[in-house]
Order: sequence, then C-alpha cells, then structure tokens
Amino acid sequence: MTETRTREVPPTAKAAGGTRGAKRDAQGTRRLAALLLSPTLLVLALVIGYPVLAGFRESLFTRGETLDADGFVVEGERFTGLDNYTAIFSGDRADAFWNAFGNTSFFTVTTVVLETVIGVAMALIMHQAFRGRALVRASILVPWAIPTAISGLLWKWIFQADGAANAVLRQQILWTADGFPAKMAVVIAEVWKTSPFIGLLVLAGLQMIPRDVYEAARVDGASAFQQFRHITLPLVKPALLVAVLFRMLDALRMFDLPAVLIGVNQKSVETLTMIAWFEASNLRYGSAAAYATILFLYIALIAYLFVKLLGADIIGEARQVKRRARKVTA
Amino acid sequence: MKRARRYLLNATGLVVFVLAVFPVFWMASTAFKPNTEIFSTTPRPLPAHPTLEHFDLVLNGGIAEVSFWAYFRNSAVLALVTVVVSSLLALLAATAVARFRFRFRTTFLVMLLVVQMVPLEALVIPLFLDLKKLGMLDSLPGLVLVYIGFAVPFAIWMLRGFVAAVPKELEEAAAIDGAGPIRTFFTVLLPLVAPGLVATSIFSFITAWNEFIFAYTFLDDQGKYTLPIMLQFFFGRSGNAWGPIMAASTLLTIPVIVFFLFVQRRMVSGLTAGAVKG
Repeated sequence: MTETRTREVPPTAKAAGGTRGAKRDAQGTRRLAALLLSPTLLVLALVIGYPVLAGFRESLFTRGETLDADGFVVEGERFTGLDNYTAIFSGDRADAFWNAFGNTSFFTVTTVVLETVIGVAMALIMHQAFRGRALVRASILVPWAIPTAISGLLWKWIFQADGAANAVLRQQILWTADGFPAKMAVVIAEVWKTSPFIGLLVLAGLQMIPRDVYEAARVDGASAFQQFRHITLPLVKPALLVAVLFRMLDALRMFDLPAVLIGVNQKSVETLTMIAWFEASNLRYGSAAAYATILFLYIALIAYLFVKLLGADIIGEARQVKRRARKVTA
Repeated sequence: MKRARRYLLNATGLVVFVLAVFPVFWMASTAFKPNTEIFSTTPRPLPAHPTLEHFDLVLNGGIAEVSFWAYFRNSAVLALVTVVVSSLLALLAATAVARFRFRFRTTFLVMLLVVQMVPLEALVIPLFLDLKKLGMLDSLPGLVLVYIGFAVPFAIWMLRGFVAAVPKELEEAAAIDGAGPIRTFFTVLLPLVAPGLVATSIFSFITAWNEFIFAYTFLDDQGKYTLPIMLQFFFGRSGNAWGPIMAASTLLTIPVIVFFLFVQRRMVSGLTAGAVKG
C-alpha cells in the first residue's frame, strides 16, 4: 500500500521533502485532485452516467400493456431479460438492423477516409506560404462553424431537384429521395463540414515539426515524396490519429445530418442512432435502449481496435512516462 | 518553377475557398431572394431583386405568438451559461489531470473518451425521466445542466494540454514568493491558460447554441423555446418555406461565425496544445 502511494509522488516533491513530507504531499494531492474533479464528476454522473445505466436497465425490460396468466390486462414494465436484444436480430427487424449497421459503417468509412485525405491535403496547402493563406484558413472554418442541423438544411436546399447541385452538374439527380444518391448527398455534406477539423489538427501537427529536419533531409538528397513519407507522416501521426479517432466516434453516432437532409426512416440513410431514436419516439423505450447499447458496444470495439492496432497514444501517457524516465537518467 | 508553384498554390487555395464558402453563400443569397426567384427552375447565384421580406417574416412575424427575440434570448442565455460554467468545470478538472498524478487519473481520462462513444440521441428518454425526478424538466436550468454535461468532457480533453504547457516552475516561483494555491491559480495559471479557455469555449458555445432534440423534448412552454426549435416552424405539410428557413438559418449562423472569426487564431493554437502535446 505504502509503495503504491510513494510511486505516485512526482519526482520533484520527493527530492524536496523526503519520505514523510512526500506521503503528506501525496495525500494532499489526492484530496486536491478529488476536490477539483468533483463538480465535473457530479455533472457527468447526473447527465451521462445515470441515463446510461437507466437506459441499460430499461433495455432489459418491456413496457406497456400485457395480459397476465389469468387474462387480465397488466400495465407497467416487466423484466424480459435479453428479449429486446434477440428481437432486434429476428425477422424483419434483423434486416432493418443490418441495413442501419451497414449504413453506419459505410458512412463512417467513406467520410473518415475522405476527410483524412482532404484534411491532410488542406493542411499541406495551408502550411505553405502564399498570399491568400489567412483567407483560406479562415474560410475553411466556416463549414465547421455552421450548426449541423443548418448545414443539413442548406445542403437539402442545394440538393433539391431543381437546386444548385443539379444546375451546376447539369444533371437531373433525385438527391433527396430514398436511394444511392441520398447516401452520396450525406457523405458530401458530412465531408464538407468536418474535413476542416482534421485539416486544422494536422496543420497544428505540421507546425510543430522543426524546419531543420527537412533541411537535413534535403542535404542528404531526399526527394519531396521521401520527405513526406519519412518525415512529415511519422511526425504528424500522433495528431492525425487523435483527430481520426474523434471523427470516427462522431461519425459512428451520426444522426442530425441524415435526419435533416434526407429524413428519418429512410432505408438508404438510416443509421443505428436514427433507429434507436425512432424506437424511443414511438415509446418503445426498452427496444431503443437495446439499440443504443449495441451501438455503444460497436463503437467501443472499433475505438479499442483503432487504439490497439495503430498504437495511437491517445491519453498522452506514454510520452510522459518517457519524459519522466529521461529526467531520472539525467 | 517557383512562379508556377505559386500560381498552383493560389489556385488550389481559391478552389478550397470556393468549396468551403459556396454553400453558405448560397444560403445567404437565397435568404434575400423573392419567392419567384427561389422557386425558379434556373437558379442564379445572386438575387436579381433582393428583398428583406423573409427576414421581416422571421423577425417580426411572431410565429406561435412568441417573437424571434424571445427565442434569441433563450438561446443566448443557454449558450452563455453553458460556456461559462463548463469552462470553469473544465479548467478545474484539467488542472487536476495535468498537474497531479493520482490513482484514478488514467481511468478518468479513459472515461472522458468513453463518454464520447455514448449515442446521446438514444438517451433522450432516460435523461427525460432523470430530469423529471430532479424537477428540472421544462426549465432552462435543467437544459443548461444537460448541455454542460455534453460540453465538459471535450473541453477537459482540450484544456489539459494548455495547463500542461504552463511551466510548473512559474507556479513554484509564485509559491516561494508566498502566494497561496488560490492566488497562484488566479494570478499565474489563469492568465496563461486564457487562450485555451477561449478555444474550448467555442465548442461549448456550439454545443448549446445548435442543440435541437433535447430542447425540443424537454421544453414544453413555448416561452422557453430556443432558436433551433423556431426553425422547425417553417417546415410545413404543404412544402417548406425555403425563404424564411434560409433567412432564419442565416440569422442563427451569424453569432457563431462572429464568435469563430473572433477566436480563430487562438483556436488553431488551442487545438495544437490540446491534441498534440497531450
């Protein structure tokens, strides 16, 4: 017990105070940390923690009127175990589920890949010195600043049958009707809105690379592509991975944009969050909660795999440990 | 070669600019067009006969007997209180996370990440029952509480980088000079973290300013409705009133854009500190 406590003490405190002082210090630190975190924890417990647990509990119950053994109508909720979950995977609802699952995954993969490519390209352009740079940088913030519901609306307006998109393309595409163009419309609007997020984070990463690294590479005769592949990419990777992870978490929960742009209950754009919301708005709380739980598990799995496979240092812990190790050896 | 490169850069920059701004320009342009032009089959970029009728309808139409400014006031109060309170909470928590090592530190950070995985829209009902129990349904304070809960995890995530970037030596120097922890916090840490607070505030602002579903579900009294709810009134069964919709959207967007342009520079550096330095 004592050992774990002393290990938590920062090295500076240890050097200054000796063991007894350090112990008191560690205790004070813990108390102060708890004090600083408590308001946040309280709010999160009320607004996220409790509803999540209540929602999970709800997913194990069924509400509404049922007939009991004697044929009387009983109102209220009944414990039904995993019935809400098995119901999702049977019959017509299984088709709807897998359709939404497919849409959610499709939107996530296409939008995040496109956003990453476009975002990195944007960052590389903005990293160059040219006259209109400040203007371009301010302008790409605009899509991001637009409220999601409004960006859904304005793209819906652009994608009208006789709207701006068809006028520019000189085509007659029914973008907002249920079908493949609707999927495309959602992807376009989403990529438009969120590429700047990745672009800005990557730009921030680019600006932290010291210039002399490139100069050294140039002296050694590295081509522009080699510089990008062996210097830029590895050094930007931490920033890029964090940006991509946050985008993935958002894309997997996509709701407002397809709901506003195309509408709820449209097969081609229905996402898992939209199904869950639709169930809840039809007062099937247990079922809605079951969908939400499944989606949550899916997102957690993807996030876990992403962090494990790509070695994303999301918490920033690894670097700090390294830094501390360096301090100790020095 | 150099010249060609410069032209290429400026050209790509121009393309990026047009793609980013065009939809917003189209929204504003539509808001000024008379109905005959809006529903014309050959849309033109600029209104031939600009009109303020849609803005007039939105501002003075008195939809559902509540004026635009009442919705505006509700939205503004919600957004500002959310920004102030969530920034304060985030600053305290970020200080704890960035400054101290304690046992559940990593657990807390992972928890912030897990919160980002919760499909919130699916939790409307449990949250509704939750607020009902607290007696905070159909009240702006209840809604503020919800928005703070949504905004604070990401705010902490971003702010901790800023706090970590402030050299510890500065605080130690202040302590040696006899400043207590509270004074050190206000005179050393707070001014240095201020740019970070500005950067995170924009996210909290957007969270509260744009939110529709929870406001719509939790509020009953029309006098408490927010701007995003007002926007829905223009969607009719007999077709959408695109002119007023675009006018209202433009009005709703202006405060966010102003806020954005205002904090733009600091936000970029804010993202750097939050994401890259960890």
